[in-house]
Amino acid sequence: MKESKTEIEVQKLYSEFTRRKITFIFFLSLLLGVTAVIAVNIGSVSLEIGKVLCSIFNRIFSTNFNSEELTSTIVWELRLPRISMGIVVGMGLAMAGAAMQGIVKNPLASPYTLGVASAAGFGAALAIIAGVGFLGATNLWIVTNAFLFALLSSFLILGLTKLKRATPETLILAGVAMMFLFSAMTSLLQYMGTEEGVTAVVFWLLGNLSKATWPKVGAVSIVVFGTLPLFMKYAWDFNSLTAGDETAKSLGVNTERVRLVGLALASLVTAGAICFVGTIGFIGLASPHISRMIIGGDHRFLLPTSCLMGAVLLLAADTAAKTILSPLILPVGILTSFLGVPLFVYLIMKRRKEYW
Amino acid sequence: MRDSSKILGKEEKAKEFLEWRESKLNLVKEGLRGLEEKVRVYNEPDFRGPYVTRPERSIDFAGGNNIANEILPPEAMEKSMEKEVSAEWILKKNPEVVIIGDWPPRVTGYRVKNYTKAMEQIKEFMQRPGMEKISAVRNSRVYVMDYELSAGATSWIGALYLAKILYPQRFKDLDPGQIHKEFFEKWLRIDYQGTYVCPPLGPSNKNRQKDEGK
Repeated sequence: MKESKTEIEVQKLYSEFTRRKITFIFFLSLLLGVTAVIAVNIGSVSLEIGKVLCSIFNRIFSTNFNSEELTSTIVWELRLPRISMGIVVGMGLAMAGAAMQGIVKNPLASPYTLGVASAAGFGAALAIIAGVGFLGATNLWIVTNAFLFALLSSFLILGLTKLKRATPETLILAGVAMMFLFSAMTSLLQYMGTEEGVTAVVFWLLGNLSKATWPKVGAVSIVVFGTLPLFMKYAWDFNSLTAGDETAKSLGVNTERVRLVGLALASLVTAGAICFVGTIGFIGLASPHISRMIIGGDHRFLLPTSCLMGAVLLLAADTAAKTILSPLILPVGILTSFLGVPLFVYLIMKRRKEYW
Repeated sequence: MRDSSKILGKEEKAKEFLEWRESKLNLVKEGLRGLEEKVRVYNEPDFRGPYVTRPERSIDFAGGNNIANEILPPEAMEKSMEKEVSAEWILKKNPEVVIIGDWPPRVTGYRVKNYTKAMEQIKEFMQRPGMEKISAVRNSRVYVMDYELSAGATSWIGALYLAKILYPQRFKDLDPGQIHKEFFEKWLRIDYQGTYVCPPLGPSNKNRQKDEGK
């Protein structure tokens, strides 16, 4: 009799526990929505909120509210693609970060740990400095090159770990090796390139959402929303990995396989996200941590929360980047750190227990 | 230039050249006399990506109202302080002419024989989201120019080209290509070749002049 009572209590506690997390996820989605509404209304051209909303409704429901063509162009072709790009890229980077930290059991891991960013940077630099330039049809080269090299680096690491065992240590060390290799190669290219080429490379490496267009948003969305369910499927396995390899194995988890698949997925998402916008740092590292500090380490909730957190952070940072010196635009990478670091430090100082 | 001519013992030649150059630049100054409304220009050197702009002396000289002057200090010209601006701001400013500086010269320049690639670059600009709304795109007044001519050592020739681009009506008789050619053959003593401004200017291009009439 007594046992079943505690069981009920535990269940109650547990559902209370989950409800809190779900509430938080709901709250974050709301916050994302609010940020997006603010972002669509802020820009170098001041538009009335009413007109902005009208032009949005007109396009979606083909209603005929009174809205000017210029407003519609600004909202639909300039602001909304950029906002959507911020959301999906933020989601992708944060999701990859959460997964990477779980896989390698290391709080310092980020989507870039495996040298994905350096490799993408090298790919882009190669395309730029090889003289195919920044604009026009050649833009496609930069994107493709960045994507291919990002994947190449993770395949190299997967290959290396296949030879040995896929332990967190081998993964991180191989990643660090890749990072140095590709950075060195990028430096070599910059050394040999022209001054203008080097400027362009540095500019690409800074990360920038200006080049967002609907087709690009579509491409990133496919990658991000395509991999999200796969990650969710592995959520339990990631949870068991954090309890240690022995425990995970005793629970029947094929630790090596989970690591390799997770790694491949994380690299794919990262490559898909950054090939269009350049390397945007910090989001992938900070969002999972912030989420973990707030809702704990259960990947079933951590993954979606990180996604939303990443989207909110990047969108807020980009809106600030557009607004502070308007009409000049600051590189978004600078703002993500300025906005994210205070929050990050606050949470680290405030936390009561070891969350990791 | 005067100093180096002294060192090289060619002071006469240098003086002659400077006078010749001055006479050509005076053509622009005279042509612009009485100008009341300057043409709004958006300047985009292409080496750092889309929507990066800066002030440019040659555009100012040619009587253009470079919209970058409103947000960037003139020192930006010397310090190569090009900055990214938001596309919607360009929409708001609605430039009448767009000058894309090709740097390092890829689609224009001494070695480039045709306009195909430069036309592609113009098309790229015209197809950017939202840009179809600006006057320059609607009236096909987007130009690609060897950036050496807008900002480099030969920016005085660039100013001649720019004057004709901005005010084809006023500079009907000015032939920058001819002056460019003279510069090559008479002063540099090399054959004139290459493409420098796209689409090409010239008396043959009647459509463009008609546009200006509006």
